[in-house]
Order: sequence, then structure tokens, then C-alpha cells
Amino acid sequence: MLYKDSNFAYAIGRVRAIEKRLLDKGKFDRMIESRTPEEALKVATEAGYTESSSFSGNAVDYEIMLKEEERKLYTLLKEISSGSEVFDIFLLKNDYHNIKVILKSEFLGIEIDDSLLNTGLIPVSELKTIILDRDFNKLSQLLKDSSEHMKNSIEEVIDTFNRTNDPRHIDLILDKAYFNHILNLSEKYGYSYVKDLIKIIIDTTNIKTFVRIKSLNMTFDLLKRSLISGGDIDISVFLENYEKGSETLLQKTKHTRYYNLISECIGSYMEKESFARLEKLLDDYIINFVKKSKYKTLGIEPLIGYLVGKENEIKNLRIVMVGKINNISNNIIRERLRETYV
Amino acid sequence: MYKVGVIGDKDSILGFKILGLSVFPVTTPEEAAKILNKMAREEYAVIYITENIAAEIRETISAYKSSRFPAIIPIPGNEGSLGIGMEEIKDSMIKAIGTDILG
Repeated sequence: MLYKDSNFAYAIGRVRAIEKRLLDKGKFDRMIESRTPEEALKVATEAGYTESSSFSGNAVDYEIMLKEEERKLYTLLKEISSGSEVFDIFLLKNDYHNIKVILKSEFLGIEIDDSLLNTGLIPVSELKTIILDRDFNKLSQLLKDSSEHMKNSIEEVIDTFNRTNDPRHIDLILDKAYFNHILNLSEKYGYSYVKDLIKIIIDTTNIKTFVRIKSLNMTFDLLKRSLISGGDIDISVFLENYEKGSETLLQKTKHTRYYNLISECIGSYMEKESFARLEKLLDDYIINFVKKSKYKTLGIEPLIGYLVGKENEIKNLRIVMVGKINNISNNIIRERLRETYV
Repeated sequence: MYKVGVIGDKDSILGFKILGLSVFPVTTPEEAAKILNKMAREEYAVIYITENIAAEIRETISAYKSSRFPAIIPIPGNEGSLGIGMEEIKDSMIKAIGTDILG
């Protein structure tokens, strides 16, 4: 079903109310300035992060709290949008993660159940049985008409791994399949805004891949296998400029919206040889894109904005907490902190 | 087959997982001592342990000094080296050859 802007009027009202509770820069500053990890965590609890029953109150267990918050976020969005399938697009990320975990644990013969996420579209236990029994027809019942991408990619992973024994393929194949899958869904449901966002995520991922592979002097072949198609910058642009270098890539992308971003990325990497700043720049670009839609009164945009903004906040909390627990200096934490949605 | 394990705070030791080592994140010395004893029973030949944790469970570690397995080796944690690992190498060296040749 194609969607109408007015479908989300109620949901937007709800989101506007909870948006105010998002952590802004000032709150994050307070967290960074706090002397102990416990003190930092308190800022989060004040902002509505709850201590679930399995949470011990010990700051090192902050992950439990963040996971719970993620679960709450997805449930809430699904509930207020009266079950709209648009959020399925964002949940699939967790399913593909689970597929990786399940396949890797099977290939390596080890138990890694604690890495599984229960925030996917398909319940973890079901996904596990489907993969272990190779019963992929069940996927089509669970995902309705969009299961082909997932099914094909799992089969491809199993086939490739059996031939090459190289676990790297598991990630490469599934990442590509995931992006194709969600791009396809956004097209099918007619969410042009979501499609735009996915394209930006693909492009920023490709920029990251390019700079990384280039700086590590890895093979052209690896770049070819790692780039994801479907973005605004065609992958041929990256491939053609791999040998020539970053400067010519910059020339070639002069007339795209990414010119400033790429130029900043390359500049900062050259200067500091650090990926931390590069990753922040790319994440900030995505946040700034969704920020623009914060003031739209109707449509899917404010909901997606909240979703991405909240996920970004959870990522920021992780950065601060890891920093605080390991006594990292405040300046370094601040340098890595992503821009906030509010 | 003998195994290699790492004990320490989560963020310091997680990277060892990529190398195929067994990783045991701990937060308290009691936990660390318990896991160390358990690993010693389970055919671990080498156990790396971050210095800040090792410093707090010296007694447990010294119990394994005279046995062949496991070899317990302190490694620097997230706060850099405390010199404990080097100190132990010197101690062992003096014991083996009678003098400190590293100076």
C-alpha cells in the first residue's frame, strides 16, 4: 500500500512530545565532565533511560540499558504508526546481523548466542531454526514478498564459504544483500524519503570503504567486492579512481552533494591518519540530513528523524560510557562524539 | 589441544577475540580469581591477564608459579604498562641464571 502523509498525524504528535527528552549537546557535556562512569550514567537515567530488571546498577553494564532502550524505540515506533511496514526496513538491519552471527557460529562451531539481537523482524529462535535446517521457504511466510534477497544471500554465503573457507565473504555478501533488500522495499512502498536516506547511507559507507582500502593499500579486487551499488555515486566512480588516488575522486564528485564531505574526509584523514574523525564526519552527514526534516508537519520524515536521532544518541552514549569506564581523556571523547539530533 | 585465554576488562581484551583466543571479561578481582582457577583446570596453557587485574590477584597467580601449566603472563591494560610484566620476567631470569642481565 502506498502511504499518505496524513497517515502519520497521530504518530508525529507522539514523537514531538518525546523528542524533547532526547539528550542534547549540553547533557552530553555534563556526562563527559562527570568524574565517574556512574555519574555519567545518571544523566541518561534522568533523561528516561530505564534500569530494567536485569540491570545491576553497575555502570559497566550500561550495554544492557542501551539494548533495552533500542528495543523500546522500535516497539514504540511500530505501535504509534499503527504497524506501518516502513519501520521493518530499519529492523532488517538486526536480522542481517543475526544471520551473520548464526552462520559464523555454525561455520566455526562455537556458541555466540549472546551476540544475537532480539530487535529484528524475525524472532531469533525462528531464524536460527530456518538457517540450521536450511528451510528457507519459511522466510517467505515471515517476510511476505521480500524474502528473496535474504534467501539468496544466505544460500550464496553457504556456497561461497564452503568453497573458499574465508569468513570475510560472510560479511561482504550479507552487507550487500541487506542494502539491496531495504532499497528495494523503500521503492516498493513508495517512501522516497527513506529511499533517499538509504542512498546516503550507501554512499557514506562506500566513501568509508574507499578511504580505508586505499589507506591500507589493499587490492582493487577487494574494493570491487566491498562497494555497495545503489547509491547516488556510481561504484564505477570509486573503481576508476582507485589507482589514480583520492584527489581525482574528489574531482569526479565535484558536482554531487558529497563534494564537501569527501573533501573534508580526505583532508582529515591525510592530516591525522585516524579513522575516528572520518567516521564522525560521515555519521554527522546522515544526522544533518534527517535534521532538516524535523520541522515538517506531516509525513514520514519526523518519525524517521526521531528513529535515526535516537539511534545516534544511543551510539553517543556508548562512546561516552566506554570512554568514561576506560579513563579516556575528555577531549578525545568530545572529539568522537557525533552531532546530536536536538 | 591446549588453549590460550585472556582475562581483563572488556574493552582492553576484546580485540584478542579476532585472533581466536578465548576472552573472559571481568570487572572484579574475585571474578578474575575464580575464572583463572577454572581456566587452569581446563587445559589452558597460556593465560594473558591485564596488569591492573593481575596486581589485585597476586596470590592466586603465584599459586601457579611452580606448576608447568598454565603460564600466566601479565599484559598492559587500557591504562598502559604498570611494569608488572617486566618485573616478573626479571624475577624469573634471576632465578634461572642468577643475575639480572637486562639491567
